[in-house]
Amino acid sequence: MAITAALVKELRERTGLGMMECKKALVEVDGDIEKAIEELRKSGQAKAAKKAGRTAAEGVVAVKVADDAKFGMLVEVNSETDFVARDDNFLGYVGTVVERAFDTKQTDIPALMDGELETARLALVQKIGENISVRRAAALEGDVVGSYVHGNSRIAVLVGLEGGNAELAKDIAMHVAAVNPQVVSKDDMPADLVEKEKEIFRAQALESGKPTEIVEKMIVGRVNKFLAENSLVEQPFVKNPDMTVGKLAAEAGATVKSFIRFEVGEGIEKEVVDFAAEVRAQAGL
Amino acid sequence: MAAYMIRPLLESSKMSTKPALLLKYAQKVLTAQKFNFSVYSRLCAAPPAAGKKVFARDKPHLNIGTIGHVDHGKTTLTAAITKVLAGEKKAAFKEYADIDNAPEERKRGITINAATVEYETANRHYGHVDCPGHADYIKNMITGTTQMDGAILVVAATDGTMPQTREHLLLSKQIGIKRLVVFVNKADAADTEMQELVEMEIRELLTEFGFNGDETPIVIGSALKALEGAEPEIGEERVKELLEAVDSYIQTPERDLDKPFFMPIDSCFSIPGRGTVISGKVERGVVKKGDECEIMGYDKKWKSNITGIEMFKKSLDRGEAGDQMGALIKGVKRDEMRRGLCIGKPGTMEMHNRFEAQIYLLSKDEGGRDKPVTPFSQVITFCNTWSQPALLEIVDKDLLMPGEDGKLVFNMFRKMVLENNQRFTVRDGQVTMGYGVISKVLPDRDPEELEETRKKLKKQRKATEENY
Repeated sequence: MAITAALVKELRERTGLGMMECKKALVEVDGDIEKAIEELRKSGQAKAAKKAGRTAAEGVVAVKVADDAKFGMLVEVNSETDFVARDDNFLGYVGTVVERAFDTKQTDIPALMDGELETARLALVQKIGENISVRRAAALEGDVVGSYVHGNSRIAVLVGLEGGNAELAKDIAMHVAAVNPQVVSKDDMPADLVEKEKEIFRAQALESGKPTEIVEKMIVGRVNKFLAENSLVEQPFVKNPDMTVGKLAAEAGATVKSFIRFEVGEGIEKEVVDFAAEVRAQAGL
Repeated sequence: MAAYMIRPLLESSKMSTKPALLLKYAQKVLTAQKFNFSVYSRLCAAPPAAGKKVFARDKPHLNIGTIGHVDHGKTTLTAAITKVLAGEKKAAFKEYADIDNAPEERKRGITINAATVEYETANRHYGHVDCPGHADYIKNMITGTTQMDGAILVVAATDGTMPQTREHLLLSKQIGIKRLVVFVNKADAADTEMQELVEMEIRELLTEFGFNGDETPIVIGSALKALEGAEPEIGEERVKELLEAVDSYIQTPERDLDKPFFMPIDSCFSIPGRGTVISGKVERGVVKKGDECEIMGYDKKWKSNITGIEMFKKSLDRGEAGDQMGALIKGVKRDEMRRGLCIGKPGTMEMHNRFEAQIYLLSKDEGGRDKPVTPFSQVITFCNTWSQPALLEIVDKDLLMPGEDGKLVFNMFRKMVLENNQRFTVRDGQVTMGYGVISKVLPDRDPEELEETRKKLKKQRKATEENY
């Protein structure tokens, strides 16, 4: 059977897949559209596998909080370009992922993805032609859980309070998104991190050539400053710098217990591409 | 600034006996300078340092870019273009660092995500950039690193349009590109019927996004074949056809010289017995002795006549875009004039105190602040030669963070000359926070009401905090 352009067009409209991909599938099954769709599903997995090695450092973060504010879920889904991060197909998929994670309270990615979500991901990779990956999920339970998603879904935060209300939790989450503290309070700072900072300060202080006891005092001062700057409750509140976040919470009868902050692509090493150099290499000039 | 540069040159050359020749030389330097600026830094907030090497160009310059899916062959196409033109010795590569007149932004250490490939056709000179991401492009546009006058949309014939093609077209619209040329790539891997189908789809999509779907040139070929030097009928010949389409379909931006006269005033003084002189660099157009003019800014305006034009201490009949000149103006007192006012052809300038702008906030590593912008914070706006405090409203976010772009509304207490697409710099007390481009002039706001709103908001904020 001859494969007409109209038939290819129909298959493409139904699947959203590439022109030649549709045509090849139709040729393979002798023009039967239903069989072609099945055929495409199979070839999609191979196509997605090929793209799996490519760096996906763009994308979005998404969040869902229970109506009673006792539980919240955070996920990050990556794509290769931020054009895709704005696409409805992609955003629709992210919505499904966060719903599923929320319903199952599953934060282990392989376990979460097993089944329908993975099938849907493969189909999406095939349609969009970029590597897409569900990178991480995190859950937060607490007395009052609030969330904040910044701007175009590049940063999302969950904050857990004891006491207070959702509105306060949201404001503190916004603060966390903006200022990026490392820990809730001084005591939570990992000892090895403090040690590392101390070493850096010591090296700097020794360079100044001051006596050892003064250097030690300088280090104590600098470490305290470092702790204050990176602890949420010590930071001046972003919407009103006259007040620290700790005081803000305390005045509302609340304590900040924990927070989780996701920023798209953090920690993923991106290749630096020099367009002119690439073009030059390809042109062989 | 150029005048200061020329003057010592004039004095040292001991050629003052031949003023005509000298003037010609000086003008040549100036034109070349202006042209040079217009190529690499016409968009940057601060003019580059004077005295750099200059190079003249006799063809109009355009910035274009490739836009399309990661796998559709943007790099290959650009390589093919340069290879085809290199055969005619018309292509060169320029990494950003090579450009000796690197804009101010580069010196400030902004991370630049654009490298330029340059080439020229019979009619034009092109700077070609890639557009790998939405946010990257918007940032480059706002900071003045790159700007596209037109774009080549690359679509693989094997795939056709993709979901993200919509986003590519949306970005093109948003950054003001009016005309695109399309290259349907990978023609070697798709049969004619499929190619036609892809072309139809593209025309439909172009129309949907407000481009002229019927008239947009669509060239079907294979960049890879052109690069390999094989099958010229789908390779090299199609690349040449594409370049012809870009040459003829993408319009040359109007030259500054052809626009109405406009000059921001940078200083003013009075010459006893003659009157008030204002000086500045002519941004646009041509002005002649005797022309009517209008002066505006700081809520006020004046009508006047230009009774004299002076450059390099020589009296002239006309000044044009790029000239640093002084103008003698009639009937206006020295005390009324000040830096920051603008002078232009009557009826071509407008004053406003409220506008919406696309902003890029420098990240801390780029020399910006580490704190985000919160609603109704106050900044100083530097634009042309004026600066004004402004209160900010954030359009569709709660905060705008360093390293991000976004829309802000600027509320100023005084009306200044401004217009769409004008660039400016935003500073707080200590540092340059970011750069902006005016996207929409908004209806004026009453300054008293603005002050009251500000106070009210401050009170409200205090109150909500007590209510938690």
